[in-house]
Amino acid sequence: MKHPLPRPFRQHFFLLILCLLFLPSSLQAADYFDLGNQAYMRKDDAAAITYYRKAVKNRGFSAALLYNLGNCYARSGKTGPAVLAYEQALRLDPADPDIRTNLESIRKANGLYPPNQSWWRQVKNILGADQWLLLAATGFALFSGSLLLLALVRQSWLQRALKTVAVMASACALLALPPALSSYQDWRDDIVLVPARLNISPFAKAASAGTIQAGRKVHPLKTYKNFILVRDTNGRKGWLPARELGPIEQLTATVTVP
Amino acid sequence: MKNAPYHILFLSILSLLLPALFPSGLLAANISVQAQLQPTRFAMDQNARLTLTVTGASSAEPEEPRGDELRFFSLGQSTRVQWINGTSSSSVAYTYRVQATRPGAHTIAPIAVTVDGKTYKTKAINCTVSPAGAGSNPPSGQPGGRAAQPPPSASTRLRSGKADQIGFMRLLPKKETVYAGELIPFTIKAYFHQGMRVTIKSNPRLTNDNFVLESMDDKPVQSEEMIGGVPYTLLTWHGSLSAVKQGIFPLEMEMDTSLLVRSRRQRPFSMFDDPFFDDFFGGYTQKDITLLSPKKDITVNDLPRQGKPVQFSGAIGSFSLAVNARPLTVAPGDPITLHMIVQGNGNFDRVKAPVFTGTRQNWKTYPPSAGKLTGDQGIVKKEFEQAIIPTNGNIRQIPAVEFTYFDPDSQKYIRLHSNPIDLTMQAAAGSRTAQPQAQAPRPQLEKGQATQTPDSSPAAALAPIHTRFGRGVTALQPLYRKRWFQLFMVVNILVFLTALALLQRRRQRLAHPERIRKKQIIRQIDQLLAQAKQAMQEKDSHRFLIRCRKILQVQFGFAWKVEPRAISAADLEHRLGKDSPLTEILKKSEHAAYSGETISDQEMQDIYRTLQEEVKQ
Repeated sequence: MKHPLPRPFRQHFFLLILCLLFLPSSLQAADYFDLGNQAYMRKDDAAAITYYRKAVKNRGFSAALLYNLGNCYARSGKTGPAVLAYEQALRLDPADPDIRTNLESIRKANGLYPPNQSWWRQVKNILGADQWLLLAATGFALFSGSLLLLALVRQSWLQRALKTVAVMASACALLALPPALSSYQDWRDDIVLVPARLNISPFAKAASAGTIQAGRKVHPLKTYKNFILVRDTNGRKGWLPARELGPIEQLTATVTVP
Repeated sequence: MKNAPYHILFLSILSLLLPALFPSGLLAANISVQAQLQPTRFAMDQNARLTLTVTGASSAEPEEPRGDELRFFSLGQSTRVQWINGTSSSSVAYTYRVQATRPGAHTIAPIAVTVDGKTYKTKAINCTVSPAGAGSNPPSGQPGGRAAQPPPSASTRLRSGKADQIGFMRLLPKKETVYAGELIPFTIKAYFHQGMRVTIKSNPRLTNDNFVLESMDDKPVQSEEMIGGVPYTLLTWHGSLSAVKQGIFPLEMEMDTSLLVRSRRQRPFSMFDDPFFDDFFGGYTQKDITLLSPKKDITVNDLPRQGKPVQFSGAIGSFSLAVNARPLTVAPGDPITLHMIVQGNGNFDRVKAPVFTGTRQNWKTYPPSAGKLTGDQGIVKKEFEQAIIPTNGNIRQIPAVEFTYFDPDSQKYIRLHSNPIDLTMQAAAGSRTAQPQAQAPRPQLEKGQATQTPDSSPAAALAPIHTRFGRGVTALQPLYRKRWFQLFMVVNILVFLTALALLQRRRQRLAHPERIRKKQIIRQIDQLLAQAKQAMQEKDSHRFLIRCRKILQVQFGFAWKVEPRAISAADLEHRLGKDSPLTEILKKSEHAAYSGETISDQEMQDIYRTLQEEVKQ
């Protein structure tokens, strides 16, 4: 009896079925991202944000998606969510110059001037946390490999060369590790989503310790119920409602602006 | 004339002793006696001081003072002698503390004083004693015991009921007709009798809520002032207050003090009956007293509604405005910081930031800072900062800022305008930020989208969106949490540990070279034994003996630390003796090597066995 399907189809039948199952969703995801881009071109920021959120549900987050979301928020005047999206995009792609440029632009346009940076912070910001860690790990790998070869080879000239490599690699690892650790500490920072009032205690009716602009980066210190004690870049401390903060480390498709 | 020097000496001594030999009364011109009571009006729980002065004598015998319902306690006597232009004058004063046992008018009877047998009498002294705690006017302190004149603050009340002998307070506002919210400078003066032991427990405070104390010196200025001839310790505060609402309100201040009051005098019996010992044993109690200033009615008017500017924030006084800005060379979108200073006199708590008059079409503005109040050398000023951003490239000036206040002197609202500040406008910021984007190749839109056009909104400086989705992730995962990185690090650590172990082994080997040499020798001997055995099995006695000789040379060369080839049968004979089987073996080996002599199989087996045993040992 002759099979109704040709032989190649029969051999890869299950593969074909799998492809047919997953193809629509991947195409859909790509579409949502493109639809978002198209809406952005039409300057329909609200629609663009909606499409990008749908794309997140299907394909997750990417640096490009977060960056585009940041552009939408920035153009629609939502400084806090825009800064948050850019900061998150930078975590995924620290080398992207567009993300850095837009982040600086929006900060400048909204008067979010950071205090004068120390040399240490300037050096730390050259690379992202992952990059610093990778540099340190590579240095360690080179160091270990050099040691191993050093234990095996007998030639003195080779030993001298390996010793030089080991010293340089260990220096590289040791120097790259502190900025890596410090940069990962920054991942715990939050972004103020809306202009907020710093309270002196974790209660809604507590006295104010000052105000803080949307888009400011703050470092969480401790939590009490729905309030978080934060310290801003100028060293001011105060309690903020958790809903007015966007954690950089936590990717979320919907940033709720209270 | 022989005795002339003695005469001169005698006369000199006599002239020196004469004043002492003759009674002082003979040398004094006049003797007078006077009694003085101070104060002449006092309360039951207070004292007066009676001073009996005898002039023209250095000693006297006064009788005890007497008076109805009065008690006198002697405080001692003092003598004063003066020599002026060769003439001496002396006086003696007797002091008494006077207490009354009943309020009312009393008279101190004339006091008789005997000086050199002659009796003199003082005049009678009248005094008025008020009940304890009722208070009375402060003393005039005028000499001659005249009736006390009330001080200017006669109406001062003391809540404790203490009399004004303790002190009194004056509140002196600079204005008595003011506007609600206007600052009223004032001076508070608190007078205390210098003899009183008074402690200030609080700063003066307002007694009602119609006024708000805006500022006051933390510490008063202390000075002395004579009022009606009586010295007072004066404490002066300066400050300012403001009225809360329209109306006529009494202005009054109070202050808490503490007075040390003698409690001993009510005792019926005193162990020593001496003021020194009574004071020494702490006959004082502390009494809290609140001083109250006289009321002053202040008329408070409302600010005129007519002509009241919209921007008026409630500032009342006299102010000036100064404004500067930086930077002055900018591009559209660049922030400029306006620095505004309001200086002058008035209620600075109501002074808000001046209003920027730029239009929203041309300027984006941010809320001004809260204002920093500074006071330096009496000049009070409040500084504000405000960020403004020009959004139009045609702007050439920063518009004026406006500050409005009410001048109570002219009774008008005043509007202050700063001068516009010239601005140098550069190219648009968007063109500058676009430059780095041009350097990076931008991916083209996937679905035939046209290239983006720059936005005209403030977000125009944004770099264009990305069109490639890139690799998707579900969460922001740091590198150290990624599986491949963890595996990479595990491999790295294993390599590192292996390298360490190898290096350690090498180090140990280099530290003990004889062990390595011994192992090498053992290995070499084992190999030679195997070769010897093979030669024995092949019945090649010549090769067998050569191997045996080599075994012995290697072994003893290592043991004796000499070159193996240099070891001969003579050396073995010398060190091991003639009877040693090893010496015999080596002799046979050397002999066979030179003569080509062979040995039997049995002999080879014996030699091999012997060698094997020796080597094992």
